[in-house]
Amino acid sequence: MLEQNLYSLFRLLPPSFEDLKKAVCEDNIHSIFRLLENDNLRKLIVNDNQWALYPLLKEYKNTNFVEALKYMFIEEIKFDEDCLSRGQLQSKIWLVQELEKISLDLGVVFLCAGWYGTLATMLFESKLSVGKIRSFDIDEQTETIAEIFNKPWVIDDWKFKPVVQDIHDINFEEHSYVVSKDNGEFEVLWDVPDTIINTSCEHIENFADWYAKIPKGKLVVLQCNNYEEIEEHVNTHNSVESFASQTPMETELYNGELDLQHYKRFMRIGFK
Amino acid sequence: METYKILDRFELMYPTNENFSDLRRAYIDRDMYSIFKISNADEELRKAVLEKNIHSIFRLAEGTKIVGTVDDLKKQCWNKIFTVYLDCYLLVSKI
Repeated sequence: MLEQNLYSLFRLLPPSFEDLKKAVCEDNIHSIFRLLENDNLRKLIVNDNQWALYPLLKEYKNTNFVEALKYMFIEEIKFDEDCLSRGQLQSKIWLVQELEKISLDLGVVFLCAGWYGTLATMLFESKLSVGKIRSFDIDEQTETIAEIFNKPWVIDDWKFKPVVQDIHDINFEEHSYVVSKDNGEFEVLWDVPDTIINTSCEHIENFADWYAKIPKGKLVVLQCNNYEEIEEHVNTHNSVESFASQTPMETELYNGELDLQHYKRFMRIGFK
Repeated sequence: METYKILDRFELMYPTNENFSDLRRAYIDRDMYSIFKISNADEELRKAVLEKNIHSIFRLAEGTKIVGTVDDLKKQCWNKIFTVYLDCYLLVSKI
C-alpha cells in the first residue's frame, strides 16, 4: 500500500523526478547513480570498470601506489602481486611505524634485497626523514617496477634508484655501484650508507658473512620469519631471541614479533 | 591486480581513512549506505532513497509545480487522511 501511494505521489511530480521515483520505488541502481552524480563510482560498481577505480583512490589518498598501479594496469605490466600481499604490507607498515616511534634521521638508506622497492615508497611517504634510498636486488626484473613504484623520487634528483647487484657484493663502508639511465646508458654512483635495511633475511644465504660486512655503528633494520615451508627460506628463525643471536647490535632500539596467521615475522632495529 | 585486492590493501595501509572501507563495502557488498556516504550525497536524498522517507521526498520536491491526475491527488489525500486518522486512533487508545 505504501509503495502504491509512493507511485501515486511521484505521478503528481514532473518527469524530472523520474530518477528519484525509480530510485525510491524500485531501488534502480542506474537511477541512484544518476542522482548521486558520481560517475566513477557508478562505472566501478555497476560496470566493474577498474579504470574508474584509480581516480577514486587518488581522490581519497595522495600516494604513489595509486599512480604505480594505474600505470601498470594501463600498460599491462605484469608483476608479482605478492609484493602487495597482506603479510608483506603488514610487515612493512610495522617497520615504518616502529621507525617513526624512534624518530631518527635515516640519511642514506641501503635497502638490501629490496625487490620492487615498495618499502621505499612507504618510507618516502611516511613522517620519517629520508635522504635517499638505494634498493639493491640481484633480480634484474625488479628494476623497472621498483622505478614505477618510486617514480616521484626517481625524478627528484634520483632520491630513489634501484641497483641490480648481489647484496653480498656491497661495501657498506663506501660503495661504488652502477645504475641504469633512461637512455639505456649506465652511470657509476658512490655512496656511504647511514641506514641498512633488510626485510628478507630469511632469503639470505651465508647470512653471517653478509652481516659481518656491515661496519659497527650503522643503523640496521632487519626482518626475518619462521616460515620454513618455502625452499628459498634458507635463514629462518623460531624466535626473535634466535634472530638476535645471529644479529648482534651495540645498541638495540627495538625487538619484536608480528603474528601473521601462517607465520611470525621478527624485527630488530639498532646500531650495530 | 584485481579490484577487490587493491581495495583491501588500501584499507589495510590507511586504516584511519574511512573512504577506503566505504569504497570496499560499496564495491564488494554494494552497500547502499556506503555508496551514499562516499558520494557525499544530500541527506534528504539518502533518506528518501534508503529509508523511503516521505518527508524527505516532499522536501526534495519543495517548490515543484504539481502535475498528474486528480486520481493521484485523491490517493495522496486519502493516504494523508488515513495517516491522520491512524495517528488519532493510536493517541486515543493510549489515553
